[in-house]
Amino acid sequence: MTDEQPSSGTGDPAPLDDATRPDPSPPRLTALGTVVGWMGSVLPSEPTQEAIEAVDDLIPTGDAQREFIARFCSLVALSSAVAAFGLLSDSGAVVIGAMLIAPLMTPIMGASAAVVTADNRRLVRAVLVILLGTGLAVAVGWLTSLIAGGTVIDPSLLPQEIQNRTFPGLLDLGVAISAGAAGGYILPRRSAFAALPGVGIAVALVPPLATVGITAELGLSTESRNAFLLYLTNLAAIVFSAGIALLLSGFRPRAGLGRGALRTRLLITALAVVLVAVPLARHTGSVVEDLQLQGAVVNAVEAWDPEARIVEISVDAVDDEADVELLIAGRGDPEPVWALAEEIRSRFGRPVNLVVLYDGNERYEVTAR
Amino acid sequence: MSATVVRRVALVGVLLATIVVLWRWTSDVDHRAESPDAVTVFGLWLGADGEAFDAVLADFTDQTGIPVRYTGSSDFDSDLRQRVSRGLELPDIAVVPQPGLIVELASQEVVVPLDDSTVDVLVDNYPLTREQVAPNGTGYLLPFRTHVKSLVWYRPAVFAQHGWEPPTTLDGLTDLTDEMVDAGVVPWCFAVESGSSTGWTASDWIEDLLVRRAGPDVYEQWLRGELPFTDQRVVDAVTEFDDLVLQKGHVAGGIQRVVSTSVDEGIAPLFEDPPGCAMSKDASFATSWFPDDTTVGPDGDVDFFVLPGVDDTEPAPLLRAGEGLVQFDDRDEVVQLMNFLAGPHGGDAWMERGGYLSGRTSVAPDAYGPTDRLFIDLLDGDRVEVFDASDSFRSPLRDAWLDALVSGIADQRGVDERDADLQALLEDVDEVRARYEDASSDADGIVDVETSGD
Repeated sequence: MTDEQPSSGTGDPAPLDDATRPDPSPPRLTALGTVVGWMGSVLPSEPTQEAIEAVDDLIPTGDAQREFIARFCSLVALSSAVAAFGLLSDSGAVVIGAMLIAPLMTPIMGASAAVVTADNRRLVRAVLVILLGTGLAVAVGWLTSLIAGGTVIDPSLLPQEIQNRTFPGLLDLGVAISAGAAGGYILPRRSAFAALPGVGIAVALVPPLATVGITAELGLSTESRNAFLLYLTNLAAIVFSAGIALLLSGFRPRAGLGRGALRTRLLITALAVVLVAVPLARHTGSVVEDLQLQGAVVNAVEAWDPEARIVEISVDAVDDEADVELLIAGRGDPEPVWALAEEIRSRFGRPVNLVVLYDGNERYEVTAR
Repeated sequence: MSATVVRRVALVGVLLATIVVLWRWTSDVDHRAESPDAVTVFGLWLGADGEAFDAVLADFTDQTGIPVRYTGSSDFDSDLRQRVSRGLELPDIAVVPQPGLIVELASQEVVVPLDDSTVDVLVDNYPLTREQVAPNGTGYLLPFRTHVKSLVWYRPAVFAQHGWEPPTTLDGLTDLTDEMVDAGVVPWCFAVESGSSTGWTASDWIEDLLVRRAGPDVYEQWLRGELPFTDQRVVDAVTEFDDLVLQKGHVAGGIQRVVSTSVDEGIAPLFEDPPGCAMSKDASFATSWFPDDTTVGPDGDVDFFVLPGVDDTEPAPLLRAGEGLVQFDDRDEVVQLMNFLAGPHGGDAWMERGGYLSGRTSVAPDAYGPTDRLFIDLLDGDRVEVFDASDSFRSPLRDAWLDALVSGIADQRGVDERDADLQALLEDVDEVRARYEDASSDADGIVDVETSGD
């Protein structure tokens, strides 16, 4: 059992909150209501006692709270330090280890449950714990980089593990939504807890935060911003999709709040997902552009010299230009490299900055604008 | 309108505004339309220079609606010669830094003469007569950009820290170099790699030393191919350069770095802390190689002095170079672009960015930025000015000369052993010179325009 997952709790279960009691009012038959009503007929209409206890245990209240916060902070700091060292040393295994130690999933699931049950007090508590964990993880990442980072990595050549977290796309959103739903499904079912480490690994929360700290310390504001975007993506998607899963497990707002309270809260979390999706779509678009550019380059080389072979290719469609670096093996002297640059520009439709290393020792640089 | 509607409209407004902000927050992408009838320009400018020239061309397109495509290549001169010799597609306009190459192109009749209207614009904007622009009624070269070479860049703070002063004589420079070595500071940054023009920085050094030691008249003789490369004065200039810059401990990174580093990266160690070298002789265009936000001047990050003369009684000569434009097509769009580039606003976009000097009299010195203004003031002084000789040689001679220099530098055995082989290397260059001895007279008119106009 790891701490990335919600804690299973020890001792007596907390008393049943009003918030987690099922809403007895009958559904109104709007379009959404019809679907929800149908699903209600095939899915549990109220959570099991086991499920209610699991949700109540997420963020303890009263005397247990102090101990929870202390344990939470220790694990966040330790997991962020492990993540930061793993990122700096470019070790995927160590970073995964950090994901398994990280306890951030607990308050995020708590927030999700609070959204579904429209329990504002619990939501505020969960958000405060999330903020605490977020700040702490970034600070530890920053500190680790300050102490160790500058001497072991070159800011212009970031380790792959860090680079992986500085350009999130729509696929990351897909991962977060699916994994968040899995978390929401597992949470009320203790029998399925064995699957929770997988959720923690799929939507890593601490490694992006450690990346934010490291890149901020290195003065790389864009990378830092993008790593934080990845974290926000995971956060918003988990709260939203775990909420839906909890809803399907029978959780509802407490009596008297009605469906409006639930709808508003779900709408806000859905909106958060839409908002993070905008820059993610942009990033994904640029990945697609890079692929288009790569295709244009490969075809242009083929047209330029059918006997030339691309050994290495690096493309970047950035701003209004295309940066291309090619390592080409060919026979004899190269065909004119300016002609290749113009061919790529013509195929891709944007100014091209091309560097060609031909047969490993001849370097050509061309700009076709 | 009910409060609910207002709230919803406000919500949608906030949502849209947020999406717009996020959209702008990420990178902006804009496709350019490919135009089949664009005017094509081929040149040597890459990086910041390429972008600056592109901005100039964008001004032209904004004014006329005529699209222009610029391609810049690190192997520009061999590329252009290859385009001609292999019968490949020629650009409409080429940017040529070497009068020698222009003479070749004109003699092969691949370039077309300047249009009369272009000659008029040049005469109106440059201190040139019609006869200078178009000797015997035919001109080929549009002077576009000029450079001051002969500059020694240094960091005032480093000089102040060691109590060094810019020297006023060449011998003083030799003493200062020795002093730097004694202080444990490598005196010079230097690199030669520049594609098919590799070695031009070594040639610049030797040209500067030759014009100082032997005088402008001998220099002009050499430039015109009338002086053998084995002449003792040329040999002395090469040897002095070897002793001053290439001796062990005199140059950052040793000979290995000199031959393997591109000229635009040669100066980089000057800006390191502690500095990897104390001085670098580079042209005015080296400012585009400096780190971002570098300030120039006595109180700035970096400053320069003109390579001193033999004595300090009169100002040291200035070596100049420049880039001109020639056209391969005379259709109306091409002539319009040539006229724009020759005109008073043909360099505005580049001047705004900095790193552009022009010989135009129609541009007031005040129009330049503070750094470029320093160079313009130098050009407006009463110094003897000579044009870059290696750029004026015909291509085979230039290639032979640069090859000889690079072979000499790459010889790792040390300065004394290299000097022993120097004679043989220069004899090889003289053999090439003999083959093209009478060709230099063709260049007279063009070189005059390069020297006096731009």
